[in-house]
Amino acid sequence: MVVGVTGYGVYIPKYRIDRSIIGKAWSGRGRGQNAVAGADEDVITMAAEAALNAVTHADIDSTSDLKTLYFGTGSALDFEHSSLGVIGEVLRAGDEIDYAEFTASPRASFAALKACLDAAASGRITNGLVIGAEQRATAAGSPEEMNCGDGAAAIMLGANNVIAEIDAIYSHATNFVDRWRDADSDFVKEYEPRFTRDYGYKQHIIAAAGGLFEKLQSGIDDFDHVVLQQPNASMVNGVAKALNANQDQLAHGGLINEVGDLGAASALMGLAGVLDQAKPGERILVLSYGSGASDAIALSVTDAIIAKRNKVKPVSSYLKNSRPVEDYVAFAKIKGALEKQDTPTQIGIPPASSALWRDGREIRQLAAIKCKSCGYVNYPATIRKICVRCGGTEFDQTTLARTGKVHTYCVSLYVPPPLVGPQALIIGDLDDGNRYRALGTEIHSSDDVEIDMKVELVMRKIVTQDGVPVYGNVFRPVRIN
Amino acid sequence: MGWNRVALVGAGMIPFGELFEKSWEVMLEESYLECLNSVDKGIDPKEIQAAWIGTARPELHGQGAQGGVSLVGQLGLAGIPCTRVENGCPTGSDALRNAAFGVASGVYDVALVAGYEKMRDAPTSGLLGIAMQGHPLLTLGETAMTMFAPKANRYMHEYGLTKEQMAKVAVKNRKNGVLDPYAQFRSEITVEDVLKSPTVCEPLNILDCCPQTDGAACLIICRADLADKFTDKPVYIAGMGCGTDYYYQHEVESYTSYEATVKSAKEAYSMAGITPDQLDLAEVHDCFSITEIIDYEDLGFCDRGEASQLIEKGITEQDGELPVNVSGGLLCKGHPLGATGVAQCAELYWHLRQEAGERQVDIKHGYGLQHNVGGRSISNSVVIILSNHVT
Repeated sequence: MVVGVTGYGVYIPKYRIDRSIIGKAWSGRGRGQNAVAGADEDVITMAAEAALNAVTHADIDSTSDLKTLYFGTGSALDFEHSSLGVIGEVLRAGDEIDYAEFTASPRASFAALKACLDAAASGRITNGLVIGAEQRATAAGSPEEMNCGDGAAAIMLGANNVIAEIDAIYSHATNFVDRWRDADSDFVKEYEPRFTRDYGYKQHIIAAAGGLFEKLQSGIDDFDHVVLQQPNASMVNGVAKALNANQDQLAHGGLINEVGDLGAASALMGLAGVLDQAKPGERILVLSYGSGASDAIALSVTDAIIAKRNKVKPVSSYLKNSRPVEDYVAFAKIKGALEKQDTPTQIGIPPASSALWRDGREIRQLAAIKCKSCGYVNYPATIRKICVRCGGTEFDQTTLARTGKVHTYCVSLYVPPPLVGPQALIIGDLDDGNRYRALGTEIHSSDDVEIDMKVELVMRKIVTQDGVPVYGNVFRPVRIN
Repeated sequence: MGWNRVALVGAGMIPFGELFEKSWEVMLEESYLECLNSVDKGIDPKEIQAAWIGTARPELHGQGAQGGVSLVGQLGLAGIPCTRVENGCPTGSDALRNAAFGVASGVYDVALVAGYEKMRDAPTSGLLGIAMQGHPLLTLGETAMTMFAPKANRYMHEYGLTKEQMAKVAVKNRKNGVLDPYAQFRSEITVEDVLKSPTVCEPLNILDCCPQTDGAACLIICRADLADKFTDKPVYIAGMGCGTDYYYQHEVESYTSYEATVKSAKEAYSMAGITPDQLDLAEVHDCFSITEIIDYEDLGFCDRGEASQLIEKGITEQDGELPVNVSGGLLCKGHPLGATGVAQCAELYWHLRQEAGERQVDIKHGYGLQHNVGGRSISNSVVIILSNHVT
C-alpha cells in the first residue's frame, strides 16, 4: 500500500521571549526569540491542538478511522502513566486505538513516524497520527534556557488523498552521547557544545543524507526544499553549508530564530512550514537528528495539496499571533520556575480517581445529551439523568461546539490557589446555541476580552494536584480565524 | 391561604465587625441575651419550644460538623428541638422561614431563630476556596466575586449602567451605616473613593464588595394570637418566598437578573397580598453594588433597565420614597452569612415598631421587605415581608 502524508497541523504557543532578555538576566547576549508555552500548557495540551488541526486538515472521522496515535517527545511527563488518552478524548477518537510514546531523543517523533508508516503500509491501520511536542524544563542561565522553545506538530499518515508521498527513508545511528537528562534530573545537560555540533549533529546528518542520496541516486540539487532539525542557528548554518543547501531550499523550514529549539517537534514543524507553501511536484528533504541518530526522508508533493490548503492553520499564522513576555520575572513565572508560595485549594477530585476519569473524559470530549422532550442540551452527560429544564429522562447523545462568543465574563485578581490572578472566567454562547462556562486563557486584563468577542474552547492543564495534571476546557480568544 | 399567623416579639443583635476577640459561642450568646432582653413584657427561656439556627460556613473556623444540639446547648436550651439551617447567603432568612412554618403549622407556640457566622477566624484567602462545589471542573476558579461580576458586565452591556452609578450604591449604604450602631463601617465614602479603590474582580473594586464580617442576630417568634403576652407592638410575617434557579453557571439563562429572586419575591408578594409600592422600606442583598442594582428590578421596585434611575434620583435613599438598606446593608453593616438574613429582619422589626432612632423611616403602609440571594451560581433566594399589622 502506498502510504503518505494526508494532513498535518501545528501548534505554537502565543508567548515569545526575546533571547536578549534571558541574556541580560545572566550578563550575556542573545538574538532571536523562543516560543514559550503558557502556564496552563504542556506537551499534552500543545500536542492535542496540533493533532486536532491535523485531523481537520486530513478530513478524517477520528471517531471511526483513527487507530494509531504515536507521540514523540523528550519532555515526557510521567514514567508510569501516559496522558495520550487525553489527546484521544479531545479528538473524540474511538477506543480501538494504539497509544504509544517514543522518547529519549529529540528525533523521537521520527522513530514514531517510521513505526506509524510501517503500521499503515502493512494494512493494519488506514490512518495513523504522529505527533512531536516539546516543552523542556531548562536550568536558569544555561544554554538550553537561551535556545529551547515550546511547540507541537502533527502529521497524519494514510493511503487516501495523500498530499505528499514518502519516496524513501534512510537512517543512521551510532552510540553517541551529546546531551542527556537522567531520570533524577529536571534539566538537559551537555558535555561540550562544539563536540555536539561537529561530531553529533553534523556527522550524523551528513551520513543520513548521503545514504538517502545513494539510495535514490540523487543529490541535494534534486530537492526544492530542505528541512533540518534545528537545535540552534549556528549548527543549522554549518550543516546547510556542508550539504551545499541554498537559501531558497531552506526558506520555509527554518524557524529557529522565531520559536527556538523545538526538539521532537523541530523538524516536523519545519516540514509543516514547507508544506504550507509547497507546490505539486516539488520534492522535500527532511533531516532529523537527536542523540546520535539521524533520519533522512524524501517526500514528493502531490496535486491534492492545493484543494486541502484552505483547511490548514499555517505556521505563519501561529508565528504572527504572538505576545511578548515582558521581562525575566514574567518568563520565570510562566516557565513555573518562580511559583507563588501559597496553600493550594484541593479540588474535589483526587488524581487518578474514578471521579476524574468519569468527569474528565466527557469534559474533554464535550459530550452532552439532548432532551427528547424539550430539546435542551444537558451538559456534562454523566451528571444529568434528568433534564434540568423539563424533567425529561430520555436523551440523544450529542457533542458541543468548540467555538462561540462571550456572553459575559469577569477578570478576577483573586482566585483559589494554585490558580493565580488575573484570571478570566467566561460565560460563552457556543455556535450551536448551547452555553458553556470555563476559565479564560491568554486574557491578562479586561482589555483582552469583551462581550460578543469570538472565543474557542481549547484543552489546557487547568490545575495540577499531587503532581498529576488535570486537563479541562478553557475559553481562548480565537487565535487564528 | 390557610396558615396560622406568626408574630415577631423580640430581636437582638451584636455590632458586626472583625471580632477577633469573640468566639462563635460568645457572639451567639450575646445576641440571644440581647434578644431576650428586648421582649417588652419579658420572656422566660423555658417558653421557647424549638429553635432554628443558621450558619452557612462553620468549616471556616474548623466547625464543619455543626449540628442542632451543639448550637442550642450553647444557649442553655439543650433538650428542645433544634435544626441547623444552611442555605447559602439566605441561610439566616431561611432559618426564620422554617421556624415560621413550625409555628404556622400549630406545632410550636414560641420559637427561637438565630443566625451567626464566624468568618474572621480564617484569613481572607480561606474564603476563596469555598465557592468550589459540585462538579470539580465546572466550578473551578469560582468565588463569590466571579459569580456576581459577570452579571455586572452583562448588565452594563445591555442597559448602559456605569461604574459611577454602581459606586453610588456603595456610597448610599455607607452613608446609611453611619447612623447604625451595629454596622461594621461607620464612615462615609465618595464615588471617587469607590472608583479609585483597588480592583478585585473586574469590573468590581474593593469598595463595591461587602467586607468579611463576624456577627450574630436572634429573633423570637410566636403564634400571632399569643403575641400580646410578650408585647403590645408585635410585628407580623405577612409573606415569605423561596426561589431557586439552575445549579451551574452554564445552565443559568439570564445574566441581567437573578431568577431565584424573581420567584421568591413573587411568592412573598402573593402571600402578603401586596405590591411593591406598599413597601415602606427594604433590606435587600447587596453583597456587591451590582447586586442591589439588579435586586431593584427582580423585586419589582422598577422596570428592567431602570434601576440606575432609582439610585440617580435618590428614591432608595434613607429619606427617599422607598428607602433601601437603611441599616447600611451588607456593603456597610457586613455580611456574616448566617446572621445576615436574621439581622435584616431585626432592622425591619425596629422600623415597623418605630424604634430605629436616627435612621427611622416613615411608616405609611406598614410593610417592610427582606431579601437574600446567593448559593451556587447565585441560584437560591429568600424574601420575607413583615408588617406592623395582621394581614
